[in-house]
Amino acid sequence: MTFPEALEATALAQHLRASRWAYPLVNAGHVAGLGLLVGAVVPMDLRLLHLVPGPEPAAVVAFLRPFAVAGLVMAGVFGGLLFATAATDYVQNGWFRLKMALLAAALVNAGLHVRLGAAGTRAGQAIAAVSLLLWPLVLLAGRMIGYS
Amino acid sequence: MRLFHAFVVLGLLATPALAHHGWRWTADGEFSLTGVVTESRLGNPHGVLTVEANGESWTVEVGQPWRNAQAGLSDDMLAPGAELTAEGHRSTDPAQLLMKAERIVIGGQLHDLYPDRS
Repeated sequence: MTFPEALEATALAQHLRASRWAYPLVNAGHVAGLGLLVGAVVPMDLRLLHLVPGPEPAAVVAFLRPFAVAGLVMAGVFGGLLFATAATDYVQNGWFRLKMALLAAALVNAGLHVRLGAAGTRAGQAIAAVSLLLWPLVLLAGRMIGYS
Repeated sequence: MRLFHAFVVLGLLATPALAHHGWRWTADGEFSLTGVVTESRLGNPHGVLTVEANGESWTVEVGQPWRNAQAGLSDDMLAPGAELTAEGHRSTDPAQLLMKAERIVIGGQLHDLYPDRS
């Protein structure tokens, strides 16, 4: 049995797959998480790039980053549950694979963001710009899974 | 501000070409398909059957588990080998062998997935 098959066979995945309320609630949790994530990332990066006026970039980052992290954790946990319900389908889905590749890139960039993002350097600006591009692309690729 | 425009374009790109939820992607006319189930993927967000009919392989979308259960359809009744008639609406794209079932008839027994839909 492959890993996706084993994941689908778990009691939790089976329950979610057949549930009336749990599945849509988990789905809503995933959407809320990515809303929080992108909703924090966009103003943070726009401020870092000086594209919008506001408080000092470092202060904006200090305030918004915890929300972005919370959103990422929520989206990841609920997204993992959604994945488990149909793992064998998702691993073969082109949009899902693209989303995971974009997500991996966005996470690496986020690691750099934490180290350099608020520094106001040229590198910090580039990281903010990549972040501003990648997270919405992750969201877009994720949404496209439902239309493939 | 140029970046804002980029986001607007991104949003427009996200507009779905084909949405499988709801009925807006389906044709208005009633459509009926009789055949044998060859593949069955049941569960949230909705079940998907592959039905062999007239030598063609059709994709038939059925309900999520509670909707199928409400219509008196068990997973076994929709399992591969089942002979059934699916009534509902096909995709507006005639190239697609795809339909969404409103009703399933098995052995003369009607199972109405959408009793509130006329």
